Amino acid sequence: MSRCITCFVLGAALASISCGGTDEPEPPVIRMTVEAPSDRSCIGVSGFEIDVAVGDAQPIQSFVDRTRPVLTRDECVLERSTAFGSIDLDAAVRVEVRGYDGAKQLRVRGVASFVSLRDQETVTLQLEPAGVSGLMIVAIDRNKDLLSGSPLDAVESIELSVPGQSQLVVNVNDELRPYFLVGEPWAVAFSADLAVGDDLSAKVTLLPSGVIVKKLLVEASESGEYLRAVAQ
Amino acid sequence: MQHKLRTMAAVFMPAVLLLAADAHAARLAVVALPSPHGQAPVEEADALTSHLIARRHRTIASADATERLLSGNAGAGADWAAGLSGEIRGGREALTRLERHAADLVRREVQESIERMGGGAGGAEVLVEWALLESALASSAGDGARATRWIDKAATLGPTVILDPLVHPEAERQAFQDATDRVREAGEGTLTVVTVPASAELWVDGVRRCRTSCTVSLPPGQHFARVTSPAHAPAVLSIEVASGQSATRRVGLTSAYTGASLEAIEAMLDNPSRASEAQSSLSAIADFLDVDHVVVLRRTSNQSYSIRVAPVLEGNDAVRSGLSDTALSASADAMLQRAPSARSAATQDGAWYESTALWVGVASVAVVAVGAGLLLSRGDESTPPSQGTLVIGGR
Repeated sequence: MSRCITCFVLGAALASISCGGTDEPEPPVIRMTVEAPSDRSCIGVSGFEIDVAVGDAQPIQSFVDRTRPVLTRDECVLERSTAFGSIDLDAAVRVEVRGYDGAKQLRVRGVASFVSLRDQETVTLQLEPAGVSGLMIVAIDRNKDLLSGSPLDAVESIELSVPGQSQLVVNVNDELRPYFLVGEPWAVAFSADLAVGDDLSAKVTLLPSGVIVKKLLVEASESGEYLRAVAQ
Repeated sequence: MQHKLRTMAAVFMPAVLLLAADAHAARLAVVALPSPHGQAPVEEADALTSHLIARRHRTIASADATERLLSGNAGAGADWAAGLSGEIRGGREALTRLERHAADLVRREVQESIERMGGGAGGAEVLVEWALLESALASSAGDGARATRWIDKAATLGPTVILDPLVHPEAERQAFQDATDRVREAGEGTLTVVTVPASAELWVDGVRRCRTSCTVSLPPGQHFARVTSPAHAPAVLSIEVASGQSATRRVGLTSAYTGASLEAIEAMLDNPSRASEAQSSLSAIADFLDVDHVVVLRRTSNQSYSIRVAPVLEGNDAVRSGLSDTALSASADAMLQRAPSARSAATQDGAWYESTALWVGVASVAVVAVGAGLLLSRGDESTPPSQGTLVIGGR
């Protein structure tokens, strides 16, 4: 009985729509690109999260991975396009883009709000520094200098430490994995006051069991915008 | 609400009276399981708790038991901070619309969350944003002195944070910069945290600082601290640091519940072949909560519930306490069947298709659907599209 009622209602609606309807014009496409911050805070970013909120609805979220971390300011872009369809052109829209480093620490963020997207064609979203400021970006080629042939997906955690200074413990859980499994080098913001020539200790815990301890030497990168830690 | 509670009481009181008439006092915890058939039966669990307490059982209520089980598992990292930042931005926007009450509600919720998480582990930015929202609220109320105090507090919580120019006006950024300069000039104090067990992570104002036992230097003022360690519930501290002074805190970390999640237990209980697994998991909860028995209430359909007790009591103990699994469930089922709220309206009022209101509703929907269809079909070529596609990214 309930099926009959449903069919009746749907049939009536479909019949009325199909009687002499005309095609709507093609829906417009609004393109948004990101602009790197003026400083080097985007260096080390290994993935972006995008939130798009239309009107009062819950934000639609998306993750944009990278083939390798951002190592120069020019590389601070979303390498892959993400399309958000069926956006109400007359509703208020808020877009937030956040960039995280290889340890999922927030590095950059950009927010744009629109009263409506009608009449918009291309938009540039300015990224700004976010999260903890004043950190050094350290890039490590894990395959070459850290893992001694062990597979990347066997890494459970990595501890980086400078004797007498700070320590960074990175647990590779499901939340972090998309940022950790980017191409080499692995780039993280580190709170220690690192300088070229310093020693950096790394302890890698592997699944199911195993520990690798390495002493790394801090070097300047070619661009001078981040530091590299290499096996001694 | 009163009617609902009375119904709950009618449902559970006779069962409990029957069962507990000759019962000795036991330490119990009531747990309302999350349900695929709707929300967890929280109100029903509360009614059951109050009656068990009235029967002299020392009973942990469902909300408290659940909080202890989830403690240590709830996230306080970057996602938590990002969510809270979004709420704060909503509060600031409400303030610009002169909706002080809405902004004040946001402020309170954010403050509670920050205090509960001990500042969290998602960076200092969110703490600064919260303090600046407090300042903006005070400023909008004409309390300049209070607004300045909150800016100072923001600088104390995150002296290295850079404010987002898209969110914070120039005057606010300048006031914050001045406050951070004052904080840098003031002499720091030190905080030493000693934990048992040692080697826990110490987070101060959302930033990971060191592994305990350790000492950190902090600007004078109030700070949030959080101590975390695998398999232990996070400890949360609020610390007042004075310039040039040393403060020491000793923290004993309590074990976190690491057994099956409540969702997993619900799935086990839904599958008869996993009954013993469910019983073991519930017994582990009883051990963790340090109670004699866990009384689990779960919704089996929209209108019915079942009750489990774990560990199961055997023989005379079960009879004396009235808390055996089968006795409690059978009595509860019997009470539920007698309760008017447990019967569906259809059973009481006849077949659903005999309802006039239903057919009036169906006719209305049909008229609206046809009307909407006709309206849509009349659209001409010049009608601008109402929807579009937003493409983000690419070079």
